Amino acid sequence: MAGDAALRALAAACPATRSAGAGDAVAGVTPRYAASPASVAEASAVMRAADERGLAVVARGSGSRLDWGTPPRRCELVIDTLLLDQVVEHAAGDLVARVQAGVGLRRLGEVLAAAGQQLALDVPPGRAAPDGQEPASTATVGGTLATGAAGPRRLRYGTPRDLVIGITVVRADGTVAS
Amino acid sequence: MIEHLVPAMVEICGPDGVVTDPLDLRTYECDGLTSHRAAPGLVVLPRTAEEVAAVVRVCAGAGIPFVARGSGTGLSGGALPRTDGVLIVMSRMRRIIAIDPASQRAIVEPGVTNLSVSTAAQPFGYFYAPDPSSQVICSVGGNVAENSGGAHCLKHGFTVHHVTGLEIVTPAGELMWLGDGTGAAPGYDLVGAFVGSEGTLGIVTKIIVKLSRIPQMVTCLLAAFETTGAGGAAVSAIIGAGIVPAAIEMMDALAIEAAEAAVACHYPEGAGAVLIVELDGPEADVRRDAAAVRALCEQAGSTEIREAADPAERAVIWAGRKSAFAAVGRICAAYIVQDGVVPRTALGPVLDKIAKLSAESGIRVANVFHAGDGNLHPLVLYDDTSPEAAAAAEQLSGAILDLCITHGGSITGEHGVGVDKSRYMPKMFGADDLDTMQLLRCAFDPGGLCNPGKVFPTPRLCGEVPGVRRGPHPLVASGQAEQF
Repeated sequence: MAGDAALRALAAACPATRSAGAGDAVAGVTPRYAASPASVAEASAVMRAADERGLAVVARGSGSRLDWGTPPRRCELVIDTLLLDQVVEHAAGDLVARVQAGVGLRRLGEVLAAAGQQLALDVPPGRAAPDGQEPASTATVGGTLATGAAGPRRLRYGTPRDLVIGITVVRADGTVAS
Repeated sequence: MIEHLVPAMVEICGPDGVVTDPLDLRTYECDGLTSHRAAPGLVVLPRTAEEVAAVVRVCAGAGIPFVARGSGTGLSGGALPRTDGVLIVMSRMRRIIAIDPASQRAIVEPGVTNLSVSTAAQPFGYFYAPDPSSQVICSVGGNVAENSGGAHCLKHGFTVHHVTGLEIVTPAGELMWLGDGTGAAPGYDLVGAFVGSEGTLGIVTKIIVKLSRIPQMVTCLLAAFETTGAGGAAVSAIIGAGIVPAAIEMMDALAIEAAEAAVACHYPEGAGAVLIVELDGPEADVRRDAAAVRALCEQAGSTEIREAADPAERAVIWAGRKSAFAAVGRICAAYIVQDGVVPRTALGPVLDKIAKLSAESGIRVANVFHAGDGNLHPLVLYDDTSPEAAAAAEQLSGAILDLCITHGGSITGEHGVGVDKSRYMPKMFGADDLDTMQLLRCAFDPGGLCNPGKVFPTPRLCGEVPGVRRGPHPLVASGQAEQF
């Protein structure tokens, strides 16, 4: 089956790739595959593999607001950032933190609070899980940047674009740029 | 070469809005970076956005490059004209269209000077926060192009943080708006992309800026230290304590000596460095923070601390800092103003290494800079009658930028890349990074006519595959395109 070949190619690029199910749907559109790259290199490789096969890709963080936008016209592959969860560096003296995209805002807040600092974005944590439980992971840094989400304190501290000073992105063809 | 455009330009801008006389053209041959000069092929001075759009359409139709210029105070050659192109000077577009205190914003034309926005907003209790040292003369349009900062951007933010809407003329000559003035427009943040694009994405014709409330109280401390390293430690301690002053400026011994000779600012004698720390906000906050800053400076080994008792004393403290660049000119006629950034925590080691480079090369370096955000302005002094001395100064200046990069910093904090630093871009960005930036540029300006030759070391033609170039681009070879 052609689909299996695509899955093999995606999995070669990113081991944590699997066939997607209904739980992976993006605003009602169910993808064929779901990948969770664990490094920038894997994210780049899986994007390149998807590009070579003409697969439409949707990026997702924790999925706390996945159905807020218009449903994607196509979605063959959903790539989440949940394994990209490292707080790489907190240079407290410089008031700068370097994190991977899948780090949750709540966890980042805890790390920064240890040095008496905060990320001045109070993005609401997202709705509760279907079972009524508090969501395990809150909005991620990557998702917050992608959507430009901000909470009420934007009045005083501004929006994500006012607080971000650099990003590394994987372009649609897999090119990594800063 | 472009005389054939003159009738069309006169039709658009009027006979008094077109400059063709070779001597008059030389008025515009450089901006604040005087080491790069090129007399423009033609200068036009439009009065309205529609005229700018019409001028750009003529250029685009004829395939002639064009460069926009504000007040010409830029320090990286961003407004360096092209001898084969049209220089579009915005100085006749200087209307303040609206001051809207209820919405805390102003709408201005690009030729309006930075300070005049604050002057116009002052009766309502507001000011425009980004304050380049040249704010008396520099234009808001130029500030947008360079994403200009200033001493008080430490607390209040840079130009990009204060612009919420832009009317632009695209490189194809279309008039359109980016952003809606709320700072919360949905979709791509094209205002953010445009601010700091150094005139390569289009020409701004109207700007919506945020206005900030004039603080209840402002105070200023002057703290002297034996060394710049000790001063740097004080800076880190202040920021580390959670205090964000309106400004933290540092001057080293050579800069102090120059300022003393120029304006008799009477900074503490024998100081190896001084910090100027300005605090603003509600009175209770300012008094509390001033006491904390004083204590932190003492702990860092400050030899003397003064606090301004009134606005007049504050002005005296600032006089030394504000005169410093010109003052250095009195002790040495020629110097390079470098602009680099290091993480605040690296200030001490980097300043020590700059001193070492200076001692090894025998070239004097004066440091006057925005210490609070790690934005260095080393002034590299040299004898401009000697080409060798100029080359050696340029080399030292470049070595300072290398230092900034190795310490995780940047090749420019607020002066921009322009023509001056395009060659340093590959030291900071990889080929894929630069290619990504050029994709944005090509999306706005596929013809490569809008301020070509700036920012990028090797301009790419739209559609070109990135990578090492092996021979001429096919479009160049076939005569369909030209690389500038």
